[in-house]
Amino acid sequence: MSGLTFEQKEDLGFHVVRGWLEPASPYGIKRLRDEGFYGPDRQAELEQELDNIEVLLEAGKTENAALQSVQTVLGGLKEIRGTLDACAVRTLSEAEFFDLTAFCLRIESLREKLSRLKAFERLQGIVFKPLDGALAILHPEESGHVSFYIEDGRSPSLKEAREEKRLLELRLRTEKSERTALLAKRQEAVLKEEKALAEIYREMSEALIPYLADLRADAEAAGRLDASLAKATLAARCHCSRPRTGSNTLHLEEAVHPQIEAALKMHGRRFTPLTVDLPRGVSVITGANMGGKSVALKTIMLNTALALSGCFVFCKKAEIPAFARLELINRDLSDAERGLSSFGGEILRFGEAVSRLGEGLSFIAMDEFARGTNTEEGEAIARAAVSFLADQNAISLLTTHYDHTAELAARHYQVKGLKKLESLPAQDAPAGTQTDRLRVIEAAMDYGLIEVEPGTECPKDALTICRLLGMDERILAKLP
Amino acid sequence: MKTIKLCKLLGDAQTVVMLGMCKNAGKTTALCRLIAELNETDRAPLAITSIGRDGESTDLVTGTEKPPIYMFEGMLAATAKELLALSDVSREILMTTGLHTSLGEVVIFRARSDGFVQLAGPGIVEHLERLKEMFRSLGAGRVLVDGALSRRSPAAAARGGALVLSTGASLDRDMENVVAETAFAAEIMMLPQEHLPGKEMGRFTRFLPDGCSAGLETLQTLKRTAEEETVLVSGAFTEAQARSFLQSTVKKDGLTLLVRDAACLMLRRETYEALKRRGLRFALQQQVGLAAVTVNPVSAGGWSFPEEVFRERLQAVIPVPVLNVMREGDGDERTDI
Repeated sequence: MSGLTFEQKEDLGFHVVRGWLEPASPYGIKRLRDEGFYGPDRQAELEQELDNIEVLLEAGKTENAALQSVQTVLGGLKEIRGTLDACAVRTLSEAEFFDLTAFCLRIESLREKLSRLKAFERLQGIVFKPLDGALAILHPEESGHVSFYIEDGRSPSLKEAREEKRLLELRLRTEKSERTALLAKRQEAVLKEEKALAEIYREMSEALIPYLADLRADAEAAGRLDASLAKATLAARCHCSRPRTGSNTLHLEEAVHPQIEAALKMHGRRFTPLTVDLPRGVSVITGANMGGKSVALKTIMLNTALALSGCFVFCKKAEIPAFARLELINRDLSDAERGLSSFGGEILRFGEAVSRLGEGLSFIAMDEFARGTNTEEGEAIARAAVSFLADQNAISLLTTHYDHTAELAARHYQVKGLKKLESLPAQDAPAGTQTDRLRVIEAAMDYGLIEVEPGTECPKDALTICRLLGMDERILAKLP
Repeated sequence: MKTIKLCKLLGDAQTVVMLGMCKNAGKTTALCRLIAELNETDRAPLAITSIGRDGESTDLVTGTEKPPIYMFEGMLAATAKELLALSDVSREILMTTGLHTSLGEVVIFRARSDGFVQLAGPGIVEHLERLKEMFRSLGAGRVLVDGALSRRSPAAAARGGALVLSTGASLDRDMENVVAETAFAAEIMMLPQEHLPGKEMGRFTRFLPDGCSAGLETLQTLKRTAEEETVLVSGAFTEAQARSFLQSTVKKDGLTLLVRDAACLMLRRETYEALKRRGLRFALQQQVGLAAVTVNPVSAGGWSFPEEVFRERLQAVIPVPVLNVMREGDGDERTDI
């Protein structure tokens, strides 16, 4: 378990970005849903997954047609695991036999397509077992098309019943008299046919039992292949990079938050990529209001969470330690539902994070910790938290307004902020709509992060921001 | 009596929907007749399904014995998984469709013998469209759709195809009422087709001859300014709406009400007639080709009408051929096979 709640993943944009993955089969969908968090005990598995994505990403460039045909076959697979479970305990119906037959034939076709995909040899942990044993039971006639039918020759009693029935049906087509008698005779033949088929279905279901494990293994393999392929496709489309895992510091170069980036793009704006290097201990981000501190925190947490869920990341380069826990301590809308104030919620969540420090390396991200109370005590609480976390088994990141909190941090980043505004007369409040005002702020704001000496005084831009946002002159006049 | 083949009335319609005015209208008999006829004449294999459930040997609503559907070797059929075992034709399963009914997923099979089948196809017109695509991909020719129960909604399923309407004595003890109701249903299906004059703007959209258009909340608020104008009704035009409009002072003469298809006119015959008498006209955006009307003069309740009188009375008021499928054709008493 990552430690992130559903609401936090929602807030981070994690679900939205994972939702951009488009697996072709129900197995891929299930694999992505069940994949979970790659904690310290699953790092080898994570490496394997990232290797596979890299191989498929490369194959997308060199043998795209072969890869597409693989994806098409995956898209034709239907969920059969319920049928496999049923087969172990009862006789299957003809529609279920059809679904198994279709599955086997499609897996065979997939195996054939994969044999022509050079990249397949380099994929790890994805092995398809041959299904000819099951197919010999389900589809012995080896006709080219996907269908399920028990031919007359399968058993002497079936042959006899069908022949009898066929003769009567021929007579029914032409004879006008004695129809009732003919129909009654046909009904007898129908019963014989049904009995013969029931016996064949029972034998087939039993004969299939030894092959169920192989069928399940192939369903699993199809899920893995499909999920990795979906990740590679997204990585190609969004120019994601492979994270390096198991590093000592959390290092991101030119990281973006793709959901926010897309929203900004719709308004003709641009996301400023972030570069940070967070060692063990506490790092602090300070900066102007509206300078994007919270967005920076989200961007870092989202990319970390994506990497540890086996995805490529929205960064130029990323090094992600083997975290046991990801902790996000921010204002959470679900707090109110639990009867907590935002301050109360933060403090409880911080307490939980602290109590889990023994579980392994944590990444603790805190957005404006303790801001929900009076400044004096709030700052004292934030300082105490920073001081405590400094020598814990955690990489911690705080955004804060409190000047003296950053002094205690190992590393201090500042939003570059309204530097370009120094040349502008600050009292010139721009007229116009809210959007115009936001544009002025955005033009003046540098959202980039720079590393400064820990304890460097935070920029005081709140008054300037008020002016730029067009606060009433009568109020501004009352300010010191 | 002259023999009329039902299949000759369909032209080259690729979808044929069978509708019944009521239970025991002889719809299934007409369907079986058509299957037998088309199986002889069409080269591509015929495909059958239903919109909703039908084909059970005892009518689930009235409890009367009804003919099951008999299909022939080589034909395709789509029905729900749970009904496969209740069909006695030898089946080769070709596709599980991913379309679901209360009786399980719809499955397409090819008949490897002649035999009886129970049909329960998709309940939604959009799903039926997808099913038709699947049939075509499997090489099917015409698709016959048993429009179960409601005589209105399946009409939409026949878009671009042909429709066969079945009626019978079970509808009403009074033959004149049966004739009038059937003629009314046929009239609605055969209303003139008109193109949408402009963009839809809410519940009602008014289109004036000069090209102007405007949205309306209710028909009663319409202030007539032009001699001729059209109002588009989005969705159904119900009995309640029709009555309110009838009682309003809005001038009906010169006004055309345009609805999507016949299924959208959900009003009673009396109301429809009253509106028409005041000069209101109705038109459809999508017309369905009514190919024939079939009659069953015998009711489930025990009464029956003189068959030739009944057929002739209907033929006098309905512009498409009216057939007694219980008698016509090969003259056999059992025409269900």
